[in-house]
Amino acid sequence: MSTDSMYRLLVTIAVILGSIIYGFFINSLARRITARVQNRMGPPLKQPFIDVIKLYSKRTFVTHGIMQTLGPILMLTGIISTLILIPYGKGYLTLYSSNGDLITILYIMTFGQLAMALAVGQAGNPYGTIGVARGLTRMFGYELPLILALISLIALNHSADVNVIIANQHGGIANWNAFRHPFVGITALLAMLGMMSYQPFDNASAPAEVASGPITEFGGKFMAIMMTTNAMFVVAKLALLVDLFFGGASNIFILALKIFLLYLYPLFVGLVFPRFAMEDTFLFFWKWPTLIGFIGLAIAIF
Amino acid sequence: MDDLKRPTLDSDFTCDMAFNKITKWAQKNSLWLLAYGTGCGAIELSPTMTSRYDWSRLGIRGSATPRQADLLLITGYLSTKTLKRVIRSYEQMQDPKYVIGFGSCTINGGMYYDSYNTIKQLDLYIPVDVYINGCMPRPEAVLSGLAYLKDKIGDKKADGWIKYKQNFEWYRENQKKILKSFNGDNMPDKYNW
Amino acid sequence: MKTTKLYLGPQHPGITGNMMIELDVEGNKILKSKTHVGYLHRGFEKLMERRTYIQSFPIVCRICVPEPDVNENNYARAVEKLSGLEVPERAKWIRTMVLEMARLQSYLLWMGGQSGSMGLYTMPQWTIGDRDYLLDRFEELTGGRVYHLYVWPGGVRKDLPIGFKTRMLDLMDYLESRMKDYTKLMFENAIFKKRAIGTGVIPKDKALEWGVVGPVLRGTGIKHDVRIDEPYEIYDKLEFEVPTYEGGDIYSRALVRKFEFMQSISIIRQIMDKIPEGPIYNRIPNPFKWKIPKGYTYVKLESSRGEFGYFMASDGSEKLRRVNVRGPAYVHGISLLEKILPGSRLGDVSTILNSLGVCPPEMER
Repeated sequence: MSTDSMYRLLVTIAVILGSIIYGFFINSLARRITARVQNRMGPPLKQPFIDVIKLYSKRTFVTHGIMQTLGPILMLTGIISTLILIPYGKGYLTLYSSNGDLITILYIMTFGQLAMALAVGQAGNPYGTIGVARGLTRMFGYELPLILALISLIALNHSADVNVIIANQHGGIANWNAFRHPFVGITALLAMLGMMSYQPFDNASAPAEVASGPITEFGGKFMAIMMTTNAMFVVAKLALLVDLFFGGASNIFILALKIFLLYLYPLFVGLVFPRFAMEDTFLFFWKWPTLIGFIGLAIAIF
Repeated sequence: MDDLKRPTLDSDFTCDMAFNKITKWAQKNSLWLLAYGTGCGAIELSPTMTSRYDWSRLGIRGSATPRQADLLLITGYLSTKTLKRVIRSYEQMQDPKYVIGFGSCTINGGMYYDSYNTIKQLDLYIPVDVYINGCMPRPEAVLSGLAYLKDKIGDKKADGWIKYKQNFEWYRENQKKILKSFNGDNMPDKYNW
Repeated sequence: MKTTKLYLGPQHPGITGNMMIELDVEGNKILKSKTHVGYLHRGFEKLMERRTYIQSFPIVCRICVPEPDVNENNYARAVEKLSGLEVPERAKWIRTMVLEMARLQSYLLWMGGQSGSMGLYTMPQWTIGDRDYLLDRFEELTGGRVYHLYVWPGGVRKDLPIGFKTRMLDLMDYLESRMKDYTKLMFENAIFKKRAIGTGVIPKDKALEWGVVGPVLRGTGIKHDVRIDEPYEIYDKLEFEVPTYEGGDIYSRALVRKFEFMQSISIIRQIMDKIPEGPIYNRIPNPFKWKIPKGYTYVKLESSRGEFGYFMASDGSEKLRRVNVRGPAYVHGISLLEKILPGSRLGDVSTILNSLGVCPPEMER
C-alpha cells in the first residue's frame, strides 16, 4: 500500500469517527438550545454520548429475525459509503469524492433508509410499519424539489462533480450558490426541512401518533447503532448542503461552523410549529417548493 | 418475601471489569422512562418533566416503547387489568431495567387499601428498586427518588431485574394468584396458564 | 386495501391516560373505533359506602386527577343539601375562586396536551411551567399541590392567607400577559389551524342528542353552561360571558377554551375585589356520629370539561347509601369517540382525544 492511500485511509477513519462525535455534539447543543427556548436548563452536553454508551451496554438482545439484525448494520454501511463520497475540504479531506458524483451520493443516501424499511418489516410491529410508510412518503415528497434543485446546479455548472461545484463558488459569499441562484437555494432549503425530520415534518416518529415510529421494535444495541447512524447522517447531509450551496469549506473548522449554523435553521422552525398531517406533508413539498424549483431550473437552463 | 433468593452478582451478570465503571456511569446518567401513566401519579410527572423542574437535567427522558426504556414508573395504584399490561411491559424491557413504585398505593394499597380491584403490594408481582411515598409525591420527591435510584445503580444495588430472573417462579406464582390468564391470541404459550 | 387492527394504548404516548382504543385502520383512515376501559377502576362508589361522610372526602377528589376541586365542591354541596347545613357567605366566594383556579390550571394543562399531541413541544413546556405558579397559590391556600381537601361541608377549611390577594392578582396579570404568547404560538399558528379546523367535527343537530357537554358543546354553537342556567355558589353575583363558536371542530373548541380562560381571570379579579368579610366555616357535628337524614339529591356544576354531577342518597345512618358520579369524560370518551373517530385520520386520534377532554380515571371511577 502506498503512502498516499495509507494517508487517505487514515483520514477516512478520522472523518468517520469525527462525524459521529460532531453529530452527537451538535445534537446535544440543539437540545440545550431547545431547552433555553422552552425556559429550562436542558441536558448536559455529554448526554448523547452517555445515552449511546448505555444503549451499547444493554444486555438483552431481542431480534425477530435475520433482517432485523442486519437492517441497522446495512444502514451503517450505507451511511459510511455516503460519508466518504462527500468532500470536507481540500487535499486528503476530499476523501473519495472524485470516485462518485452527486447522483451516486443521492443514490447511496437512500440505501440506508431502504435497509431500515426491510428491517422494520421483519420486526412486525404495526406502528413500525406505519412509521416506515410515513417516512418513505415524506422522502417521496421532499426528493422532488431536492432533485430539481440539484439538476439546476448540475445544469449551471455543467458538471455533477461536487468538487467542481465547490470550485465554482470560490470568491466570497455572493458567489455561493444559495445567493447567486436564489430560486435554487430556496428550493433546497425548503427540501432540507423535510430531510432533517424536525417538527413540521416529523410524522414518521410522532410519539402521539405512532409511538416511536420505525424504531418502535428496536432497543438496546440496535437503537445504539441507529443513534450513531443518525448522528453521522446529519453531518453527511449538512456537509453536502454546505458543499453545494454554501461555498464548501477550505478547512474542517469552517465546515463545522457552517454545518452548525445550517443545523439551527430546521431546529428553530421545528420549535415553533406543530407537525403537518401526513397528507399535508406531501402536498406541501409538491406545491411551492416544486414550483420554485421549476422556476430555478428554467432560469438555469435558459 | 423471606423465601426469595438474594440476587447474586455472579459472572453472568457483571460486566468485564474494564468496562464496568464506564457502563455503570452511563447506565446511571441516562435513564429512559417508559411513558406509561398507570395511575393518577402521572399528573405530577408533567411538572417534573417540564420547565420548572426539568428532569432532563438529570439525563432522564421519556421513551415511547418498552424496548427502549430502562425505567418503569408505576404511578400509583394498579388495577388487576393494568397489572397484566405492566408485567408484559416490564418483561419486554431490556436488561438492566429498574422499577420505581410511585405513591403510597404501591406500598400498601394506600387510599384504596380495601378496594376490590387494585393490588396492594407491588413488589409481590414485579421487583421494585425504589419507592417514593406520598399521595401525590411532589416533584421534588420524585426527583429525589430518581437521584436515589441513580446512586443505587452506581453502587450496583439496583438489582431488581436480577432478582426477577432468579426468583421468576416465585413472582409467577404470585402473579397467577391475581391474574387468571393472559389468554391472548398472539401471546406466547408461557403467558397462557 | 388491507384493514389493520391497531391498539392505541394503554401504553401509548398519544393516549390521555390509561385507556385503550381499538382501531380498525385502512391506510391512514379509521374505519371503526372501540374504547376499552377498566384499567383504572378502583370502585369508588362502593368504597364510599363503607366510609363515613368525612372519611369519604379524601377519596372523592381522586376521581378526576387533573381537576380534583370540582369533585370536592360537588360532594360538599350534596352533603350540605342532604343535611341542611348552611354555608357562610365568604366561604361561598372562596369556593368559587377555588373552582375558577381549578378551571385555569385545567386549561393550562389542556393547552399543553393539545399542542403536545400535534408536536408543538414548546407549548407544554411553557404552559405546564406556568401552571405551577397556580399550584403554588393552591399550596399557599390549601397546603396541597394537586389534591386539596379544602372545600368542606359547611364552608372551607382555612381563610385566605395574609397577602394572598396581592399575589393572586399579580399571578392573574402574569397569566394574562402570557396568553399573548400562547395565542401567537398556538391559536394563531398556521399549521395548528390547518390541523384543527375541520377535524373531529360534531354536528350541531346531533350534539345534544349525543350528550355532549361543556366547551365541546359550546364549540358547536349551543349555549349551555351550568354557571348561567342554574347558578350555584355565587355565580349569579358575578359578571362573565359564556362564549359559543360555530363549527364543532377542534379549533372552535380551542377558541371556546381560550375565551373562558380570559373570563376566569376576570372572575377571579372580581372575586378578589368584592369578597365580603365574615366567618368561613359552620361547624359540623362529630364526624363519627354525624347522621344525615334520609333522602337523595343531585348536584351539578360546570367543570372545565363540562357538566359534572353527583347523585347521592342517604339512609339516615353515618354512611352514604349510594353515590353516582356523572362526569363529562364518560360520554366523551366512550360513545362520542366511537361516533366521531371513524372517517378521521390516524394522526388525529390523540388530537381529538385531547380536545374532548377525555379523562380515564373519571370514566371508570
